[in-house]
Parts: sequence; C-alpha cells; structure tokens
Amino acid sequence: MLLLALMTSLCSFGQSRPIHYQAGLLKASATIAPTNFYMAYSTSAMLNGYLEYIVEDKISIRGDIFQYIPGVGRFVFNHLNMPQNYTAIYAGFGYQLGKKNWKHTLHIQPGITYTQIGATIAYPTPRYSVNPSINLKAGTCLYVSPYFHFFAEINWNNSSIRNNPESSSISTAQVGISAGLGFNIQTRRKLNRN
Amino acid sequence: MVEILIPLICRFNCCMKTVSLLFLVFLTTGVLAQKPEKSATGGMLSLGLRSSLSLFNEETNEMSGKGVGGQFRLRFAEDLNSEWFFDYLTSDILNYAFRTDYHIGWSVMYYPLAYQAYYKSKEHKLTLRPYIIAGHCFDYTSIQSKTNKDIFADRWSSAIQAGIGNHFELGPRFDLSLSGQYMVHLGKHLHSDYNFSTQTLVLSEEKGQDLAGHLLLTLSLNYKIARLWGK
Repeated sequence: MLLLALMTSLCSFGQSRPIHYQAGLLKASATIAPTNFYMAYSTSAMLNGYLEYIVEDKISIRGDIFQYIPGVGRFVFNHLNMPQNYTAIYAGFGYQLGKKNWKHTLHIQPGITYTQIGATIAYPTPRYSVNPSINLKAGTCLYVSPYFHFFAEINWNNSSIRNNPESSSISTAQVGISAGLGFNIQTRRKLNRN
Repeated sequence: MVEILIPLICRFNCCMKTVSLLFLVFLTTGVLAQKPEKSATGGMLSLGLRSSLSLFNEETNEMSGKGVGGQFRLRFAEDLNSEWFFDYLTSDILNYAFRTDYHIGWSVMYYPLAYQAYYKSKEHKLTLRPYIIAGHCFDYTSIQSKTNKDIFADRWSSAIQAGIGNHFELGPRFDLSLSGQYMVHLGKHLHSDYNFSTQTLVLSEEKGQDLAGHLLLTLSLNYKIARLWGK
C-alpha cells in the first residue's frame, strides 16, 4: 500500500517535474538476483549487471551479465543438477512503454553461457561448456533524478549444458528477479522539460 | 617487470580504443535515429542479433537444438533485402553425444507486398512486412561423445536454405523478425551409430546421398544504423 501510495504521488507530481527519461540516456546497475533453476528444482542467486542505452524514445540497446554466486541456495537434487560455475552474457534490444519518468520495459537478448559442471568419481576432470542462450525480461523503471532510477525486473534465461557425461544435457532454464537502484546519465542535450 | 607491463598497457589501450569506437557508433546511431527518413528503401544497413531453434534434424536420435548469432542486412531496393549471418547451434543426440554447428552465410529477402498502399503511410505504426527468403551458407559441424571427448568427428560443408518470414516493424528503424527456413546440407554427412547394449559410439562420415537438413526457426532483432546510398 505504501509503495502504491508512493508511486501514485510520484505520478501525480510528475506533471510538474522534469522528465529524466529521453533518447540518449545511458544507464547501468548491478544487483543480486534471486534465481530459481526450475528444471533442477533449485534456488540460487546471481550477480546481475546491465548497461543500457536509449537510442530512440521507445527503443534501447542493452547488455546483461549474470554471474552465479556459489554456495548460496537450496538444492533439492544432488549437485550434478546445478552448474558449479555459470556466467551468462546477453546483448539485445528493449522496447519501452509507459509515460514520462515511469517506463515499463520488454527485452529480448540472445547470448551465451559459460558453465562448469561438477566433477564426479567417474569423471574427475571439471568440464567447461559454452552454449547458446536467450534472455527475456519484463520490468518497470522509475527515473527519479537525472542520475538515479529504481528498477524491478523479472528475467527468464534458457540454456543447456551439452557435455554432461552422466546423462543428457543439464537445463539451466531459470527465472530470476532483479531490483534496486540504478545510475543514469544523459548523453545528449535535453530536449523537453515540463 | 617493465617488459611485462608495457605490452599489457598497450593491449589495454588497444581494447579501450575498440570499446570507445563501438560506444561512439552506438551514440551516433542514436543521433541518426532522430532524423525522420524513409527507412525501407535501398541502401539501408542494419545490425542485428538472432536466436535460433533447430528442428527435425537429419541425425538419428538428434533432438532440437538452440542457437545464437548475429547478422547485418543490406537493403538493395524497396522490395529486395539481403541478410549476412553467423549462427552457433548446439543440440543433443539422445544422451550419448552432442552436436555443434556453425553457419556463416547470406540470404536474399524478397518482399512481395512492398509496393502496397499499406506501406506508404507517413506516420509510423506497427507494420508487418512478410518476405520470402533464400540463400546459401558454409557450415562446420562436429559431433562429440558426452563421456569421451576423444570420440569426435567433424566436417566442413555447404548448405542452401529457403523459407518465409515476417518483420514486425516496431519503430522506423527497429524491427523484430521471425523466419522459418529449411536448410539442406550439401556434401559429406556425419553419422553416429550407438550400440545401446555395449554403450559404444561409432562416428562416421559419408558422402551425401540424400538431401539431409533441418528446419531453422529464427527470431532476430535488427536496428538500422546507416544509409549507404540513396535518400
């Protein structure tokens, strides 16, 4: 309720506030994303960072990186269902909806994952694998100053580790949530002010 | 120590120059985006990223594959475009092997409805632009055992592909494209023979007798970055 009241008041005051969102905005952030590997019934956490540039009013170019934080999480099955190390890099485009300083975003980002799977008694050598991946993202973002924004996003990443010697591929399909404070700067001359 | 550091610093400077140059290209792209212009005419160059799904693969027991890649498009005319692409795909062959494919090639896209009144609107709206696509690519394929990485076979070959697609033009310069193409590999074929009772895998290479191929569904995101000729 408090959050809703805050959002409503921000929107209503938005009429007389300067608009911080416009083409030319460069934004970045890093946060910890609780992530559920739903094919492995396991929960973990990722370090998620992004860099995004608004090229047009509704279109942005974006890059994301996800780094697996080991030792955090709850594993239902044995460790073989989870990667020991996981890094995902994505690049793609975003579509921005909404008005003025409060934007809702949809992103599609192809990318690759670099993973290491756990060694076993039968296969003691660690195995590394690079695989294609895709990231779909929906989120909301509130630009509160020329330098800061708040964001909340839900991520869906999908990839498979192919060289698992024990059985078929390990799916790293996952859903995660990223939220927090981001930083932004305007790289072009400001065009409009209310 | 200095002998080690100097080349490292030089390399770092070189990397920074590349990053700065790329960043400058993106900033310039944004500036160009402000100018209203006809973006569906000859001379437009666009850059894109793509994600692929490979279905109905030729290999026995091969499952669907996932891929990632990049492309650029160079438009020749209002009804004719070209796509130059690179793909990296991986797929499982049941639980005993996996296959990796690299495609590098080109396609020509023809827009049969390009001159319809629907595309003449001055104001931009969400536009659908269907096309017929056909082309050629070079490909490198490898099959590797999951349990023993020394059981490995690879081949270089050529392929042709054709299909249909559609651009969803979300902005004057930005489009999301979905296409389905059947790719036929020409030349040698790789085969995996797995004996389930002895759990042994034999990989072999055969000269092409049949039109072996696979269906490629591709989702791509493209942004027009420059006009190389025309107005």
